Amino acid sequence: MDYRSSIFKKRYKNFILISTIPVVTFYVIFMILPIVQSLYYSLFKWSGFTSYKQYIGLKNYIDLTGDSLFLQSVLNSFKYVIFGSIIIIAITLMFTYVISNYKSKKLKDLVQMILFVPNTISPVALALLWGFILNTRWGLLNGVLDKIGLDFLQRGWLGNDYIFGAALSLLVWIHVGFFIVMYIAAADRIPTSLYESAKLDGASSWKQFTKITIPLIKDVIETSLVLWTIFSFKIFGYLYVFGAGGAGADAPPPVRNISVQLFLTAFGKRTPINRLAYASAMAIILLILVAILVYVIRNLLMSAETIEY
Amino acid sequence: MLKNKKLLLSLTVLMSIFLLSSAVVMAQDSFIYWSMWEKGEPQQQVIEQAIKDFEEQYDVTVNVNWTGRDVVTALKPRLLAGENIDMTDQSGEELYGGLVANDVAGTMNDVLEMKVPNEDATVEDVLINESYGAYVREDGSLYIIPYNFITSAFWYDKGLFNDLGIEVPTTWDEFLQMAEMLKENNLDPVAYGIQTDVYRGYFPYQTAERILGKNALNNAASDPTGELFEDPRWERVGDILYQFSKEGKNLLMQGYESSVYPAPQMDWIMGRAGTFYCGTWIPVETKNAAGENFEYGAFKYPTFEDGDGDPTAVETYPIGFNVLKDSENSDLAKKFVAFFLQEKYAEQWVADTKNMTPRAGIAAPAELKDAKALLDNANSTFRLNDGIQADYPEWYANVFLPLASDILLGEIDGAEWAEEMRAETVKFWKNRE
Repeated sequence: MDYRSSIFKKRYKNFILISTIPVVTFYVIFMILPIVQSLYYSLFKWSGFTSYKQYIGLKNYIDLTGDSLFLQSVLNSFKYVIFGSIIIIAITLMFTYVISNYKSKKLKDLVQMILFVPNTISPVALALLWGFILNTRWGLLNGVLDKIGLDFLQRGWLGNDYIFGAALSLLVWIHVGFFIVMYIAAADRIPTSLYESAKLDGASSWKQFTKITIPLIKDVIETSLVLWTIFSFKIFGYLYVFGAGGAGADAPPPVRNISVQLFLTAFGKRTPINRLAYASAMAIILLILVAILVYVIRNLLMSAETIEY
Repeated sequence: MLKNKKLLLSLTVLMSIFLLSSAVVMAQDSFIYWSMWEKGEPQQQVIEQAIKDFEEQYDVTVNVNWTGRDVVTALKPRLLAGENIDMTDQSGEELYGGLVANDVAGTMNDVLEMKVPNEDATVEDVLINESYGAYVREDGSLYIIPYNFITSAFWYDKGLFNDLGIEVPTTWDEFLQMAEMLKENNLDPVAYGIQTDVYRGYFPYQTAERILGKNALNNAASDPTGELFEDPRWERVGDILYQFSKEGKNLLMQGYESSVYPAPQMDWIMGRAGTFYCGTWIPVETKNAAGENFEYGAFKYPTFEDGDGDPTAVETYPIGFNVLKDSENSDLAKKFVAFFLQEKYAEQWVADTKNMTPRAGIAAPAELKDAKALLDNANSTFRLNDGIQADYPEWYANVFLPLASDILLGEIDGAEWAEEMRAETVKFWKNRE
């Protein structure tokens, strides 16, 4: 068969078109349509309990500009992006340096597995556990600090002054393991010949890491930054539960990102707010903010050159 | 051929009649109940037993979904999708804030007139009026029939107070004296956790009830001009709240600014603090951690000489049933509500769940004896948070709770708090014009 013939090309094109129809259909139904629906609902006053809606135009968007809890959740989301990305990438690189120097593959796999474990546990359980560890009076952290003579470092970790940092530490603990798997996989692709020649030239292992490993996994680091930005805005379970204790209370405002604030506005939990349309406006803002941030990151930071090896 | 056609037609008609009638019978003989309780809880077990008895006695079916505390949230998409759910239950505030405010709840006044099975009394006859009185709307409509009755109070260990020679306080001055004596004995006066919303709200609204009276907070919250907060008594409320703070008389337990559930109650039950303000569910929550000689006592929120509120008034917090407005089987669901209010289930409720029943004439569990006495001696009652959580939930979340934090942390004083309440209320309503 002549693979360059126009008939084949046409058939191949048709095959591609037909085989993408199910995917596109699912994407439109489950991704595009809900976004369009959210945009539509955001123009109404609607609780979501009944089908009755009152058209109010852009009022929900105008109200959001004066909603202190929403604005705080936007600020928190940006704080998660900035502080989280710095801390997570630094810790992940540190672990990558240590783990990639292990000679034993079994040990390498074991350490990666241990660090990945938090990703396999229920967010609710982890958030509650973290809350117990950081509890002021009888939490593990303050207890340990007391036992080792560092009681001057004890803090009210779940108070307004520290609770954001406490929530961020929970997210860092969970996500470092996820990104390490990505970084190590990328580092493992780098040909050993590069390290061998660097070693012959007398480069230390740190120099090899900074001059070979980091530049060659730069694309993965950039991808992790994009992923973390998206996580920071849409992460829900951990923050919804964290700090609220087991009493079914609402998550405290200093830890809420837009997703948590959106849910509490739409569905209420213990405070029966129930403004589904207003929360839809929040969802649209969330979508726009994430799209802008991802666009900016991709354009400013993504590698212009492709490094081949 | 014609004969066969006739036979087929007759069979079709008969089948249709049979199917229709069985559908009608099914619709009439069952109802769907989504519950706030989860499988395994003592409350769930008592209700489940009553359901079993109801099904046997009337040859009906109750389809239950043991949903848990977020039942109102869980109902929302189902109701929107047009699914029939006949009955649910939750606290008064959550039912009114979620279902009543959105015109989904049905009125329950007719249940008050229903006869309680096997008894010579109506539901209204057997219920204590205080258990639902605060939830009757101005037009007389009622949307909850309570089966559990909660109030809140300061809790203490009677043995500890006896040992230390502390008298139970009634007035604010006596309360401060009690606090001093507890401090002298190396005890924090009040176990407290500001990060839990329900705890954060207690003192501001209880103080407002005592100083300005019932509905003052509710009315001020709904006033877009903020003028009601210009009443100088709000500054007095702020002054009292400031006294609680670490910058004031430091009445709250060490580390209260970062204390999260269940730390406050654990600190109290383990003897680090002398008192704890909470609802009547607290003995159940803390019983396993309480020492052998721990004896639960309760006293009401202190009164103030210059207060205009009823000094005997206490909070009422019913948990009860609502049969939804569009219920397809409302008669049967309401029949069950009356059925569950029988004396035997109320007694079982008290015995198994260690909670109070709204049925008159049934003693409270030993741990709640004092709290029950407070209710019995009250001339009036008020809703949890003076009703603002249900009536103005966003004001409660955006204005009330953040400013409660500020004053109880001592970051602002009484005058600043009253002014902030006014200014933030104006801002809040302006943003919603």
